[in-house]
This record gives sequence, structure tokens and C-alpha cells, in this order.
Amino acid sequence: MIELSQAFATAIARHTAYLDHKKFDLWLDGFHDESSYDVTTKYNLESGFPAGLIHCQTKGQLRDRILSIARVNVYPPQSYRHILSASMTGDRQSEIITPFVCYLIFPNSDTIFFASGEYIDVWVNDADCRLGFRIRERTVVLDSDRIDTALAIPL
Amino acid sequence: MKKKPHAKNVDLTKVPFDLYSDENIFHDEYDNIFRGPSWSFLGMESQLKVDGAYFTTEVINIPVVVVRSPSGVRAFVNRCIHRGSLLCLEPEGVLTEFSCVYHGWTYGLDGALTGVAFERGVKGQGGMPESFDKSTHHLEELRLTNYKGLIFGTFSKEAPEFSAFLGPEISPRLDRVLYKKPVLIGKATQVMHNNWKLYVENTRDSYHASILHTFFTTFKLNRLTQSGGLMISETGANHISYSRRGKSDNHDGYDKQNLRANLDDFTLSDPSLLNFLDEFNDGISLQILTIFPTTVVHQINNSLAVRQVIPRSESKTDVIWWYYGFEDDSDALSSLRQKQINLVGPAGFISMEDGAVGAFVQINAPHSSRNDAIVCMGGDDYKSSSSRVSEAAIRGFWSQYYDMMPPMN
Repeated sequence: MIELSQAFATAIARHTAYLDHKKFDLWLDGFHDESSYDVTTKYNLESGFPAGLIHCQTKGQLRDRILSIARVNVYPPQSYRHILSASMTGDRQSEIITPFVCYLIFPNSDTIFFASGEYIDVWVNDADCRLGFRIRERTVVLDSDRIDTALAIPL
Repeated sequence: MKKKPHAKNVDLTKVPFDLYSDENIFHDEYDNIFRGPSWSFLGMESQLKVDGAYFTTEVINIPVVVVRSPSGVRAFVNRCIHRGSLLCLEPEGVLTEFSCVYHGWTYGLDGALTGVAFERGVKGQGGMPESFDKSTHHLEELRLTNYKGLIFGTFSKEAPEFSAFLGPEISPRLDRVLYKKPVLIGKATQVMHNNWKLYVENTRDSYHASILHTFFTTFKLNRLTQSGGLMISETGANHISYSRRGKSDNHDGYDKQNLRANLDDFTLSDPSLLNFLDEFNDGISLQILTIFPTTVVHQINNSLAVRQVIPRSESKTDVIWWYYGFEDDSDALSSLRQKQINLVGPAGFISMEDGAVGAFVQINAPHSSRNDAIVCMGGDDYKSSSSRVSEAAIRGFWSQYYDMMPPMN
């Protein structure tokens, strides 16, 4: 189990900033080869419903999503700005919870409040990654059921 | 099947853009369609496991509560008859009676008024007049159909029976995807910045699906060159579009069109996302079924869902995705349904575009009042056909729409 150190706080902040700066390859590199990534809502999680918004059981599936939104899918030009709150340990062994909010910025148009929620993660030390850590498991739990227009770029 | 010419003699190949942007049209739709003789999807019976279990929803902007009472599933306007306050504040729960927070009026699960706080006043002073008879007051109730686990409601006594409204072409196709008891496996809401009709037209538009949704085409999930067809109810109100997977398709049509949709060099590192178990034993891997005005039921490989479209204003619409499976789904099928959540919904590889494209049209609609949208692909009528290079189901929608709306100038 990793420590909630300053080094970890910097790592998760940097990893999240990769999304905001659309450095998707670096963001993907923050995931362990054997990792999962899910986005769901608090309602689905608490109801025990398996069908959320995104369900990647492997890093390959997450890579497919990154490639698809970069090359295949159509959505209005946009970028994110995440604001993270301090990470804390969760109830489960090795679980780290990091609350966040995310704004969605449309160039030459509005900036809207897009999402709030928690990253429920399992991280491991990994000297091979420039962050010094990698994600083994991430479940993004959104507070609201409502997604404005589309969830294209992962949160 | 012969179609009669439209009673109001409307040209179905043209859609005035004002219909998407005019606030008065939205009010007319409220009165004539949503309060009129149409059926709106309210939710799934699997959400109501015990007596008193309820969920709240909306028909257009009208708050509605659906509850399991000892006399069966019932639905009421979520409104106290006294001063009009909301009754149920939580999205779902279990209750023994309805109780208004404002003045404490209570109602049974059958909607009957059972209690008025201080009905006889205090110490002989105040209170309701003797003439006030609780037994004559009742929550406003909707007429319901529980169609194999999907609950539909209407405000109208004149609405035809639901299965008659579906028509003999469409009801067996709805039965196909409800051949066992449906169970909710997840929900999400997609907020759209467009008129509701742009979304429900989109779901009847088999022409766009494989062009806009590049993912569909790149992975050969749905190409217009695949075998399939359009079936449209005699009224035009309801339709299905369907296709069969992978029988030596000739995709030349796409290559010749030089479509953006044809990225043959793009491959998935994990193609298991696209697996298909032929659970209905008919080889059909895609069926989009629409029910006028605002219900869509899809099968996309093994993803099954009801899309509940809720008009919010002339330029805003919510689409609630009710993902379902069946009670006795195998582990393999459950896991495939969960995996294929990646294809559909607000984050779906093949549906995220529909949220954006409606807004692209809506932005222009108020400035297009001298123009009409052109809807003549495949002719000027709404016949069933084996070709999906057609806008016939959109014309069918408009035929039903004009039948219900007052004459337009």
C-alpha cells in the first residue's frame, strides 16, 4: 500500500493535468498494464447496477477509447479543467479516494460546470513511470446522473 | 401496404425549422401530444419490488410518481391537490402513504385523499367547511399500461390501447426484445441542447447512423450495405430499423463514397467489445424501435435499453437511458451487456455524437425560418422497405405529429 505522501499528491495532480492538457499518451502511461478504468454514477453504484458510463476491464480497452475519441468520434471542440481535493484512504485495503470537480471549456464559447465526483483508486509504486506511481484500478463515481451532451474525453 | 394521403395534405418531405424553435409550438405539443392521446414511457416495473415502492419521473415537464400499490402499479401527477406542492421529493423510495410536506394532506397508495391536517380545526375554531368531502378528492391519475415490464402512461381517455397503437408490424418486434422479464441494470441521463423532435427524428433516421457514427461503420456494426430493413406502422407513428451481422457484406458502397466513416486502418486492441451472442436466435444484431412520441427501445449487439426522451423546452431535452437485461441472464451475457455500455449512452462510441449533432441543428433553427429541412430520401411516403437509405420513418413521425397537432398556418 502506498503512502499519502507529498510525492503521491504531486503524482495524482500531474496525472490529472495530462487530461486537461490533452496529453493522452502520458495519461494512459499512468495506468498499470493490468488495470481497469470505470466511470459510473453514485446512483448506479449504490443501486448495485453494473451498467454505468464507461467500463474498461483492460488497459487495451482504455487505449481504444483514447484512440477513438482522438480519431473516430465527433464532439464539439473542448477541454477540461479538473480541480482535485486532498486524497484520503478508503475503507477497502489500498483504496485511495480523491474528490474532484471538472469544468468543460468550449473555445470561443462557454465554460460550464461539467462533473463532480470521486476517484476511487488503487495505486502502486512504479519507478518505471515518470509519476513514480501507476493506477491499478480506477472507478470514477459521478455525483450526478446527468451528462451534458456527451462524455467524450475520459474524466 | 397502401398509405392514404395525409389528411391535412402536408408535404412530409419538408420540415419547417420553426417547429424546432418556436415556444408556442412547444405549448401546443404540451396540450395536444403530451396531455393528449399519446403514451409516454415512465419506467420499469423491476424498480417497484414491493408495495409502496415508488419512483418519480416526468412527462414533458409534468412531475409524475409511479408507485406499486396493493391494487397494482399506478401513476399520479406528483402534486398535492390542495396547493399544488410536489408530494414525493426523492427520486425513489418506499412509502406507506403520500404525505404533503406543506400542509400535511395525505393520500393512500391508490391516490385517494385520506387526511387533511386540522380538518375539524382547533378547539372548535377554524377547519374545513362541513361541505368538504374528502372522498371526492383524488390525486390526478394517469392511465397506465404495463407492457411486459415497461410502464407507459397517458393523460388521455381517448388514447388507443397501447398495443393497438403500436400496430401489428411493431408489437412483435417489441415483444422480441422483451421476451423475458426485463430488469434494470443501470441508468444515465444525457442532457441535450436541442428540441426533442430533433432527437426522436434522429432515432428514426437510418440514413445518418452509419455516416455520423464512424465507430459503427469502421467496425462494421451497422452499414447500409448490410442486410436489414425498415418497418413502419401503418400510422407512421412507430418504426423499427434493423440489420443482420456479417453475412458476406459488400462494403463497396462506402469505399466509393469516400466517407469519413470508413477508417479501415483503425483497429481495436480489444475487439471483444463487439462480440455478439445471438440471444434472440434470428441473427439480428441491431434493432432500433421507436414509439411515438418519445420512446426508443434499442438492441445494439447485446446492449438493450429504453431511451426515455423528456422535452424540457423548445430547445432542451433530456434522454434517460434505462439499460436492461433479463432476470436469468448468463454470466457471459451479463458481462457482455456491461461491456457494451461503452457503445451506448452519453459516453457511447456510437451514440455520443447524437447529443452534439442535435445542438448543431438547433443553433441554426431560429435563423432558418425561411427554409425547410429536406426529408425526401427514399420518396415522399412512409412505407416499410428493405432499404435503409431512406428517411421514410421520419416522414412517418411527421404524419402522426400533424394528425395530433392543430392545423398550422
